Amino acid sequence: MLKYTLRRIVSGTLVLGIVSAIVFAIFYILPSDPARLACGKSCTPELVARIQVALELDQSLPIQYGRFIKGIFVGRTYLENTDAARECGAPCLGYSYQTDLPVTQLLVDRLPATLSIAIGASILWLLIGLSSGIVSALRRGTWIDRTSQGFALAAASLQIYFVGLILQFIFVDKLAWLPMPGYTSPFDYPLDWAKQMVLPWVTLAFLLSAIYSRLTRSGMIETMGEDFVRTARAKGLSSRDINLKHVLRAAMTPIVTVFGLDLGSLLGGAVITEYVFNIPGLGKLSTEAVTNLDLPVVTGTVLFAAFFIITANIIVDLLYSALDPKVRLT
Amino acid sequence: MSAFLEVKNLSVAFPTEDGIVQAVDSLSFSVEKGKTLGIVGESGSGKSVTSLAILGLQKGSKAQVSGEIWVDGNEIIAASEAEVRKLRGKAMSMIFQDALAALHPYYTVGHQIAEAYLVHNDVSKKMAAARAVEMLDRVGIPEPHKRVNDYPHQFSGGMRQRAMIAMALSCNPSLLIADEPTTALDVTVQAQILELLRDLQKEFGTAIILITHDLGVVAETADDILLMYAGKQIEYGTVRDVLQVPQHPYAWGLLTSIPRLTGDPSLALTAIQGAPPSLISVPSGCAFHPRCTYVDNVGAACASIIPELIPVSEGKHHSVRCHMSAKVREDIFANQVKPQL
Repeated sequence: MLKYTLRRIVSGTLVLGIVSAIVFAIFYILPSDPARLACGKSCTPELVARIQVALELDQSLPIQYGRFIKGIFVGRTYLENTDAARECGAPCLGYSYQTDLPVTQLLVDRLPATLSIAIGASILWLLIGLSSGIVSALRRGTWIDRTSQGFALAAASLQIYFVGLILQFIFVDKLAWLPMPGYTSPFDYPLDWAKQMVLPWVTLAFLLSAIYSRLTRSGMIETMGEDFVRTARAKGLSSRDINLKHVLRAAMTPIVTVFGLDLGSLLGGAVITEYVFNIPGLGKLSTEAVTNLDLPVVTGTVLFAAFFIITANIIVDLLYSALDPKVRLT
Repeated sequence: MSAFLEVKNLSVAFPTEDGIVQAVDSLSFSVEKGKTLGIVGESGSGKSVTSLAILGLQKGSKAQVSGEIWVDGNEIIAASEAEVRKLRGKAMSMIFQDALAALHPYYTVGHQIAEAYLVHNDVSKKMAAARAVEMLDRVGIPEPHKRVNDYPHQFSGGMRQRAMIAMALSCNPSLLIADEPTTALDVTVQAQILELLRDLQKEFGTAIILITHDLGVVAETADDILLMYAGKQIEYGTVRDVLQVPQHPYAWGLLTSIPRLTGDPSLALTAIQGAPPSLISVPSGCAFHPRCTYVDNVGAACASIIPELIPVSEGKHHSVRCHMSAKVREDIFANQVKPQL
C-alpha cells in the first residue's frame, strides 16, 4: 500500500515533468517573441534585447527548462551576478510577462475562487445526482423515473455557457434575486460569497448532476439483478437495507471513481464556468494567459491542473482498493 | 398433522416479448420436518423457479404466480412482501447455486452471516458476530475466528458453499432449500457438503428441498423424489419407489444414461434423444412425447392430451404423468429398461 502510493507519486511527478516539457516546447515553437510581448507599447529594439536577457530567453531551450525545473524545487535567481539580480524562492514558476508578478503568487491568489466553485458545486451535484438517481432506480418505469431521467438527458445535453447565461439573465438581470456572480472571500463576507457563488454552483451542478443521476440509476438497476441482492432478500432483510447496504454500496464504486476525476479536473480550473461568470479563478487565469501568450503563467496553470488531476487519480485508485476488497494494489 | 411445507397447484408464468413462458405448471408436493425432498430435472425444467416461489422472491417482479404455498401454516403467494419477509431466513432459507455470485463481494463472510442473524434476532452486533464464528465452525471452516473476516473471494469454492450454508442456517430455519448446492464443486467437496447437510438436518430436524440434476445425489440424500420436465412434475414418490421401479420414460432415460462401473467401457452411454423443449413453445400433449421412445404404445393421445398425474397403484405415494397403462409400463420396465441398469 505505502510502496504502491510512493510509486504512484514518483510516476505522477514524472508525468508532471513531461507535461511541463511539452508546454515549454510548444511555446518555443510558436512564432511569437515573449520579450516583444512583455515589452509593451513604447518599445525599442534595445529594450527587447534587455528583456530577453532579463527573462533568460537568450539561453537555449534545455537550459531554460533546466532552470525552470530547478526553480520549482530549490528556487532560482534571475540575472545572477548582476545589479538587477532577482531572487525567486521555491516553488518558483517564474514571473508573468504581463504583470511581472510571481506565477506562484498568481496561482495561490486564484485558487480560492476555483476551490469555492468546485467544492460547492460538487456537493450540490452529488446531492441532486445521487438522490434523483436512487429514486429513479427504485421507482423504475414510473412517472418520477421518466420525468427525472428525461430532465437529466436534457440537462446533460446543454452547455454551461447556455445554462449559465440564461440563469444569469433570469435571476440577476430580470428578478434581481442574486448579485452578479464573482468572488469575495468567504472569511470576510460569507453571505456575499455564497450569494455570488450560487449561480456558478447551480450551473455546474445542473449539468453534472444529470450525469451522476443517470450513472447512479443504471448502476443500481444493474446491481439489483445481481445474485447477492437476491440472497439479501432471501435472508429476510428489509428493502431499505437491501437497497442501501447491498445495492447502493456496490453501485457506489464506479461513481466514486468518476467523482474523483471530475473534482480533480475541476480544481485545475472550471474554465468555462469561470469565464462565463467572470470569476477570477484558475480557469480564467489560464485562458487569459493563453490569449496573451504569457508563457510562465500558462506553464504554471497547466502544471497546477495536471497536479490536481494526477493527485485525484492516485486518490481514486487508493479509494478503489478501500471500496472493493478484491482490488489489491501492487 | 399437515406437512411443514405444502405446495398445491403451483404455477409460475413469465410474460416475455415472445409470449408467456410457463416455467412451472400445476406443481403439488409436500415436505415434512426432518425429511428431504429431491427435485430433479434438467436446466429449464422449473426447479429454481419453484424454490424462488416458495421464498416468495418473485413478488414485485413480472412473474405470475398462482396456487397455494403453505409454510408452517402461512400461505406465501397471497401474503404481502412484509409478511413473507418475516419468514425468509427464519422459517425458510435458501442456499444458492453459485456462492461466489450469491455472496456480496464487498462485505466479509462474517458480516453477511451476522447480518442474516441480526434481522431475526434481537441481539447485539457483537453477539451476531460471535454467532457468525460459531456457524462457520459448525460448517467445518478451519480457524473460523480468523476466516470470519475474509471476503468471499478469499474463500475456496467449497468454503464459500459452506459459508452460504452457515448463513442459511444461522437462524435455525425449519425449511432449507438447497439449489444445486454442490454442482460447481468437485466430488470430494460435494460429499462433504451433503454430509454436512445431513448432519445439520439430524440435529435441527430441518426439512430440506434439494434441487439437483444429479440422481446420485438424490439417491444418497433424499427421502422423496420429484421429477420435473418442462415445468411439470412427471413422477413423484419415495426415493425407493422412484429409483427402483421408475414409471416415466424420462426417468428410465435418466437412469439408463448413468455410467456404471460394471458396464462395458467400449459402449457409448445411452442418451435421451433430442433436446429439452423451449418453454415458450412447449410440445402439445405430453411435453416429453417428441423424445419418448415408447409413443407407439399409446398412439395419438401423447401428442394431443396432457396426461394426468395418477397414482401408480391405489393409495400409493408414487404418481406419474404418462398415458401408458400401468401394465404396459411394468412390461417395458421389466423387459427393456431393467436389463440395462
